[in-house]
Amino acid sequence: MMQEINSVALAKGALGLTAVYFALWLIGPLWFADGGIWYGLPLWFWLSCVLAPSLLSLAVWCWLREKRHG
Amino acid sequence: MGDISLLLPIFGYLMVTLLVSRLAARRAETSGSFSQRYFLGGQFMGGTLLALALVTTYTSASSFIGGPGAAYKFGLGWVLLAMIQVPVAMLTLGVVGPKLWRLARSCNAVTILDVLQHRYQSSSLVLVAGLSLIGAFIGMVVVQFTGGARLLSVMTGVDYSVALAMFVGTVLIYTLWGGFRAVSYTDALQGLVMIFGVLALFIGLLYQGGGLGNLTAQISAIDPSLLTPKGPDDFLSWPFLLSFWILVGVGTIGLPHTAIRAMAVKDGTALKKAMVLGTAVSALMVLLPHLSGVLGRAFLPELTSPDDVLPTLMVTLFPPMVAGLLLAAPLAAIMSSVDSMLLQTGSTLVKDLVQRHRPLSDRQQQGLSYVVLFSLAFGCGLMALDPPEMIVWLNLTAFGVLQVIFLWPIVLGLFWPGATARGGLAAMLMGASSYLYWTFGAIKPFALHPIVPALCLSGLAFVLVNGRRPKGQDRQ
Repeated sequence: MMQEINSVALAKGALGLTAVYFALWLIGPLWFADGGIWYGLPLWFWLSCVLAPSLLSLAVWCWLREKRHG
Repeated sequence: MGDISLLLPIFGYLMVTLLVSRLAARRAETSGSFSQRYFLGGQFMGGTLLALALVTTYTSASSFIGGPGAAYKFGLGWVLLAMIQVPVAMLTLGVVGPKLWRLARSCNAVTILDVLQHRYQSSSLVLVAGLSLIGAFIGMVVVQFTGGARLLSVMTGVDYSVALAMFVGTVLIYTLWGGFRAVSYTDALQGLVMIFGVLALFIGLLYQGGGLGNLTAQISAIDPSLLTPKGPDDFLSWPFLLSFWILVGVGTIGLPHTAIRAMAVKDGTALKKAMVLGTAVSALMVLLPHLSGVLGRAFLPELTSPDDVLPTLMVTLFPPMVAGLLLAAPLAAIMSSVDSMLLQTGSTLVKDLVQRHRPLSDRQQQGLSYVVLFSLAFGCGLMALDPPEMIVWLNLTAFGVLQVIFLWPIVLGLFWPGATARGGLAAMLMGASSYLYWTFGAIKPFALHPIVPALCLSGLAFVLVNGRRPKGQDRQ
């Protein structure tokens, strides 16, 4: 039920995960811009555009699945 | 007449859209006033429906036309920039979702402006918000109509005005038929079509291009900077990239056409499911079309209009019948945004600007809503025949204007019990005036996009003018 959701905690969680995503997104161009090509694409691209969104999707799933059971 | 083998699947897709909207309209609620049934349809959305409807409403023509076009031109750096949009569904639903839902339920709100009126009890604030919303959405609708018709016309060979009539007619019919409920179900269908389209295009591209390595080697031969984060001539500077975290990231939390989805969600479980699914769908819907735009340069190195890269790839790489099916994806992206904008503009005119001052019977509400929606679609369609400069002007600024008008009044209104109408109005006026001044003066304070300082000033104005909450004002 919607009434059971702690809206402040949900908002903080969403903002917190966005901040983590921002940091992961930033790592690629900041530290791996000259990392060369890996499996057809630059290393920075794998980190920022493939790994970061995949981890974010996984983290949201784990976070909200845990809450549903909790 | 254009290429019939391309047109047939598109016709088929438009027919299926109409069928889905008809079925959705039949399942509409029968309780409540016409406005409540038509403009919101009750709190009926499950997690999957909500995720698809939210993401498709947010991703418009830019995901298939402008975005991949820019990626074609600026390379992988533009994909990096586009990926900022991935958390948008999670942010919108997570930050304002539960509070908006509860407020909408407690006051029977149908529109975002209803929520603002209930929260602030100020007709001036609602008037400013309503007029901004109408102006911004009219500009955006005309440009989306233009994009949809141009896509249909260029790719299938039908006359532009015929393509425009087909496009506007379909959107108008299903929006009139079933209101918000029909729009939500058709948006979900359009989301599925878009996912199928981007996946098929990307796989086809890799297959025919001999794999990722081969394609990137060809792109590197054209210009190695297309594979760098900053692109050719370091165009994508850090201030530019970071500004987009506000413009297409955090700043989108209060956008009325996406935030309203949170008011229609069924329950908390559906909301959480939509946050999970919405994030994954966003990642897919942003990454694949933009990356295809970059990789497409290996196939089409000399395109005069980069915006045509995805539709041209579809027609070039696939047989006509399959290309016709794939072309439904960008059309779906445009339709799913434009229907929500039309409905929001209509509900603002009928519910917020007329009905608030003059109570209407159920029959009058229905009549007025249909007349307003028809006039809006027809008027925007006419303007799309030859878009006036004013519309292009409006569209360029519309997205930012909506953010500076709605972000702080919605977020602070929901989370700060002391927020008053005075503060909200100050935030709207300060945000809009500073944003417009910097945008049209072509001034970039600290090399940032004008939206960043405008939102900062808007938030500051809210807090400073708000002052102390008057005694006795209800807490939300």
